[in-house]
Amino acid sequence: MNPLSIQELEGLRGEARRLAEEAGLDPWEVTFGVVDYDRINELSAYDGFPLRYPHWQFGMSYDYFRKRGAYSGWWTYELVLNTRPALAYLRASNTVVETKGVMVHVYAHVDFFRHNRWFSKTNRDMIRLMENHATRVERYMNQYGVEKVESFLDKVLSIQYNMDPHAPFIKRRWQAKRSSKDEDEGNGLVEARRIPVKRDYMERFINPPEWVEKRRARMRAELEEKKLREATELERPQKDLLQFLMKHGRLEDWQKDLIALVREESYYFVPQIQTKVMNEGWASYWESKIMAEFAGPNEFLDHADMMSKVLGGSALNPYRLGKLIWGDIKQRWDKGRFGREWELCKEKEKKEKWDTGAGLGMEKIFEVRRNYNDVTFIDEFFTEDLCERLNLFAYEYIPETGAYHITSRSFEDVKKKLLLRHTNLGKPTIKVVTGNYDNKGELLLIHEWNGIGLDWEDAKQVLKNIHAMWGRPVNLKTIILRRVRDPDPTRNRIHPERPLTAVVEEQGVLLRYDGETFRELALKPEEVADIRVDDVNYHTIPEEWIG
Amino acid sequence: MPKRIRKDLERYKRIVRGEIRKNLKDLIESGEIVGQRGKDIVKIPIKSIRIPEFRYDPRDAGGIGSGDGELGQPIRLDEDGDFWGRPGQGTGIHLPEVEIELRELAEILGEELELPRIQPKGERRWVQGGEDYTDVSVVGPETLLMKRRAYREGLKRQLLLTEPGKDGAVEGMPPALRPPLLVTPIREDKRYLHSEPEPEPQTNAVILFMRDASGSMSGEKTEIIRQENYWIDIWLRTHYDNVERVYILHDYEAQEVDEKEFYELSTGGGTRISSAYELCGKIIERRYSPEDWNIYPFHFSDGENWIGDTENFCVPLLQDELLPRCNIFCYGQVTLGRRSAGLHLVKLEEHLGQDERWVSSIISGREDILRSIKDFLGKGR
Repeated sequence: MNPLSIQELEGLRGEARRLAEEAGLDPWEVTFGVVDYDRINELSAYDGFPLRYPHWQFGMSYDYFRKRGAYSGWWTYELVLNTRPALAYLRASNTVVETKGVMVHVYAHVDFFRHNRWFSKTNRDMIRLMENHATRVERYMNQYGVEKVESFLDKVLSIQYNMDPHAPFIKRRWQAKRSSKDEDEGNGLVEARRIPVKRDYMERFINPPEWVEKRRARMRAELEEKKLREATELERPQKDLLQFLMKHGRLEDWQKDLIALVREESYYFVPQIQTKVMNEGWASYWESKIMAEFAGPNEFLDHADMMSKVLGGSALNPYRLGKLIWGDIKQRWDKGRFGREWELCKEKEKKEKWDTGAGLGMEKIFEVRRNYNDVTFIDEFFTEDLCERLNLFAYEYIPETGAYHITSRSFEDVKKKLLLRHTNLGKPTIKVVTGNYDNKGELLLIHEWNGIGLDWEDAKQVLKNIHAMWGRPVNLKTIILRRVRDPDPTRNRIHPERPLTAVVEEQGVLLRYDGETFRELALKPEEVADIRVDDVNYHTIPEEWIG
Repeated sequence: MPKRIRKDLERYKRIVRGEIRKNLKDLIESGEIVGQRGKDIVKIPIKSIRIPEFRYDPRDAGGIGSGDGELGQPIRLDEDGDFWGRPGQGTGIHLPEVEIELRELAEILGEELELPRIQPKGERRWVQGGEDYTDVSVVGPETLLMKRRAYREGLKRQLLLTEPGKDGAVEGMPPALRPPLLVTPIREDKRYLHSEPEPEPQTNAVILFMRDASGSMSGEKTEIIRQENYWIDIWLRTHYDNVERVYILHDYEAQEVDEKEFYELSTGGGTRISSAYELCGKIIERRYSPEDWNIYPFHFSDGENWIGDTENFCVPLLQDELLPRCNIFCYGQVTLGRRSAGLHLVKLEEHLGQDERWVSSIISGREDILRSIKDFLGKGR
């Protein structure tokens, strides 16, 4: 098949955009690049960017994509960058119908990038920034040696998502309240600006003493807070470990700069991880809608085949799960299946025929695409009905049998597990407490324990890496589950199908690395209470299996 | 390949190679790689080529799956069953194990053991038919059937032939309730991969594995032989376009078997090694002419033999029949925990010690596998 000419591509692009806009999407302008197969693999490895800083990890990804392509015929379907204008890639060997599908898919993504709230703080000039990062890393490599720089990057990357994804959205007290006129802080001398007064006798009315005093007190408090912020003793635990190490770690300037650079990239990627299901679902949803018109009569089957590959595989494939939820929302709000009456209705038959003709589906999905992320999306719109339709179950590992077992089919349990993989990017919450633990200048981290333990080997490796950045001993408080009683083997006779498991007990542990060895110390009960998150329990092992 | 990523790829490969070399002995002794069925790619469990992170213990976290099954039923996780760290934008890719092409693995083995490259003897022959499937045909062998394509053609045909309204669907019925359309591809729907015959130069090799199958050779000894053969096989395969394997089991009599039987069968009879050598010679004579084939016989036994068999029958067979035709003849004595040479080996050594087409090695446990591979392949023949 001959590759499409530029004119043909431009024709298709114009048509794709028109159809997307007719459907109600409002994307930014998109620049499509036509690249060959191998370049697609490279771009995929670079997360879509024309270039990244040198690091073996990209080589690993490239190797992965290349082998996937060579041995299983799988290729990256679409690749789009959240920049303005958006940049997307087309494989030179794509057929007409593939090109159409990818274009529509891309326009839906770009609409999402543009309008979803979680992208509102994203830097849209990331291509240039990535280039700049590449230049900086290369410069350091020339100066300090590839090995040294790369191995430091390895360490930073092991905590690349230990930042605060919500930080860009928080208005800090000291940012919000400070008026620009109050900035003369001098040498710790606090003096609030007064409103200029022409006649002295008016002074006490225009600048009443209580008011001036109040203002002064507030400024003092702010100053105090700012000092605290800069000190290593934190007022309350914070998630942004990268920033903390960058500010207070015993590091050279180039090392601090590398942390800053990785952190900046993480802030770009986080919203994409946070909205993966929604975003892929959104694009697939609109692709299938628009292609009904866009695909020619003889292309229909080819497109269906293409979609089935994208949506295939596991039931939790984000493309498939997302598309399903979007379709469901549209249908429910079109038929008025929401609100108090719907929730309260318990008659199955009545619910099946429920249709108030509300016709609010379109409005609703656009509202959702504006305001939600995966966690809130799943929390609110993943329904019992969908759970049943997907035939989902929760499973757990039972050490006694050495296997994973189906533990539950209840909607609550499945949803809980689903939320777990999206909450906090599916990773445990680690916070910095202080850089002066025990008044010895040691770093203290806590793992806010929600019932699920850390991968111990990895945690140790990461602590080693953090130690290299901190320069002093590092400590991590966490909780592990300790077996206290083996299951009673006689119980198995009645219900041989139940895999029995041991009774476990929580044990608080302080994992400490001093640069040479690891030590594990027991925590006091009140310390355990401090790091334990009580309001969730992600375990789904039935009571009857325990003990 | 684009220039920029090549550097990243090279550094990654260097790390992988370094790790594999560091763990090669363990990998070989544990036998974790052997037994993978993949033709071109092997998976190597190396944990350290991953950037560690604070993450949940996957066993502690459990997960969600889809499909039928009772509560309490154990499940097997397929690759998609769980998407912790699934590839996606910005998340990076975490592979629990490294996939490596067999060719690369063989190269690493070669580097580590400092194995010389083999110079294939004989002339390259031009043969028909490449392995590259560049075309699609409507006829062909069933192994080359393109299933997905066939079902698609079938679906197309059925859609075209079904009268509207006769597919069992009622207007307005939700898609979920519609009766599923059963697609049955017929002969006209089938499509096959097709390769244009292109003459290509080819070098051929045949490996003849022989093993003493008497009772004393079972269990761990067979396992060692299996490991050893695997590595020998991948090394030779990187040097020849076409490698065939022949398996011969012997006790008092010898017979040709397939790969599975070779490692599984064990008999109770006595041992007469010359029977295997004789069969080996016959097979070479009948099927693998030395002009076209590079011939590699490997024989493993525990060193015991019928009295007089070695000097009276084996030695003449080797000297007159086998050695002149082979690139190299390798004998491995597999004796658990004992390093002294058995009678068979002593006698062979006596008569053939000077012949450079003959190599022997004593394997007394898994830790010797690596060394013995070097013994066998270190001559570069």
